[in-house]
Amino acid sequence: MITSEEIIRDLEKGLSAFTLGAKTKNVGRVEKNTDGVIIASGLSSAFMGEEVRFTGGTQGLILNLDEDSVSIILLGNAKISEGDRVQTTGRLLQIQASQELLGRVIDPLGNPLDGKSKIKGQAMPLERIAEGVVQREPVNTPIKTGIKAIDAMIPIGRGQRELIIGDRGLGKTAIAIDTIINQRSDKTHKKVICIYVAIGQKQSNVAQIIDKLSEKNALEYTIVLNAGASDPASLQYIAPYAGCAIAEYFMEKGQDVLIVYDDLTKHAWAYRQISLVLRRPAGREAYPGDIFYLHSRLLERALKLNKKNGGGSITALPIIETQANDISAYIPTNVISITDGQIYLQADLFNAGLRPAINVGSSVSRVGGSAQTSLMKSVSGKMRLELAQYRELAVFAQFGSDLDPSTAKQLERGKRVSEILKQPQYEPLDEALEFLSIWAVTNGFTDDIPPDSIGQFEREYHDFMKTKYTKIIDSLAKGDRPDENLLKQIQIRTEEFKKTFFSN
Amino acid sequence: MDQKKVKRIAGLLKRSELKQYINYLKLINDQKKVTVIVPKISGDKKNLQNLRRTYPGKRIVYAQDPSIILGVRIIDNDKIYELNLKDTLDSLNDYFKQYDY
Repeated sequence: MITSEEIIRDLEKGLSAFTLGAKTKNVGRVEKNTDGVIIASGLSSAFMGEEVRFTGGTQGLILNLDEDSVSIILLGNAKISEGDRVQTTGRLLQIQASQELLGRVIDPLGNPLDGKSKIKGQAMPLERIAEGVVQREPVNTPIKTGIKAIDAMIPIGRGQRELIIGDRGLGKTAIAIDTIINQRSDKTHKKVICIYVAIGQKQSNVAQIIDKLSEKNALEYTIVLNAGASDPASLQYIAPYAGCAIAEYFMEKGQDVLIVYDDLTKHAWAYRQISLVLRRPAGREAYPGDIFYLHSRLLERALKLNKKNGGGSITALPIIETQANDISAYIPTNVISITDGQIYLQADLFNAGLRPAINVGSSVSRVGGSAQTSLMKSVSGKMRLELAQYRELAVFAQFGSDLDPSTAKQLERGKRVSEILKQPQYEPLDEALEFLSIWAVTNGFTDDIPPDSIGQFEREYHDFMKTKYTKIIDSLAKGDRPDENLLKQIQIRTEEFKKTFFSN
Repeated sequence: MDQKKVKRIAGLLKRSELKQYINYLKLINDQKKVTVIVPKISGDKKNLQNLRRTYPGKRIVYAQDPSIILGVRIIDNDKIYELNLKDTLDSLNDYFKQYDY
């Protein structure tokens, strides 16, 4: 909610800039309209990235300045014909950002798509140079996804840029949505505001996501920005920048923001389409030469500010869709090199029933390790090692039937570690429960449980601990490394649960 | 503009070229013309002289538009200078619409 002081300050600021002197308008004439890309004459004072207005109020964005014409992308579906008047505004494209945006569904221009009232607030520029190194600090606070495999082995920190990459239908969006849902339960750190930017997605998919967020009570701290598949390429192009501008509004207020760009492949397609209509030289895969800059300037705006600058942060989860697992294509390699790590989803893991289908070997988090809690660190190392050993041994075990007891034991343990990493969609776990699952499996408490019963064991184990031993859960929820006494207690309670599990 | 020359050139051009030629002629014409819009044309020579001094080498064209209420609007090619009551009222309206909480 905007305070009265803010309103008065805005009015005073506007009043000081308001003069009764002569006002200069720079106008032009529409010469050509090609698929929403407009060539206009006149506009001699226009600058790159300036917002323009056509007759009737439709907005446009200047993308090319030629000798005697200007190329403008039309932001909307209005009919613009030859001879129409266009006028410069003297400002960069902006979006109104305020607390009122929380729980709302908007388009990249800030217009509501949920049938509720218009949103007013502080104007934030869509394009902005990211803060420099002096204003930043290293990533040091975790953002918990609630997904065991990620929180334990590919931890993400606030201010990090972690790419989610994989073929279609492997659960990339599900990871992002689970992360948003999980922010509801993180009580140990500052509340995170979530922004979901849908670029070129089917409207039915976006509706489903909104419905799910609403069902899980996650919409109240989430903003959904939608530039659907049927929207013009220009709106799809500006969508992630609009989302980032909103994120910056909250970051400047010292808040932590999580922004999901779903997905940047379609964003690159939209920009390629615009660039080809603008007759810019086409390069590899027909993308323009500045396709790398398109994504680097966007993702560079995800950062953690230091205390002196409010201590806010923007964590970015860009999504890239690959074709036939090809991560060496142009856009995937670009975004991999820009981000601070990637979560790689693989089709064969998905088909083998391992969901989320994260390939732990190819996935990496370059800066998140320093943000991981001591609690998770105390079990993640062992699990990673056991999983790596299992993967290596499993390859060799295919060729021979005679295995020595220690190898057979390692293989059996590995199977259970793989099983414990399986997790249903929309069911993110608290860190304490994640710890309990991983701790139980890596300390051999599940060695005598058949791998296909691990899921049931885990569910019942969590329920048992949550209902009977909340003190243990509360102690673990602090995120500190568990001491000997606490570990002893967990061991006793786990053995107690196992007895009831087997008796049932 | 030399009518004979223009007609001769126009006769040699294809349709698309002619369109481009017309656009250029319009552009040149606009660059050499300044339109002064006033609520009521009074025929004040002093004002005309001032404008001629401000825009040397340009043709000054007067036009009447009562909707601007008071003041003047000067159109110099792609630049419009607004110093009239209608524009001030429009600006105030836009300004308050922006803060319509």
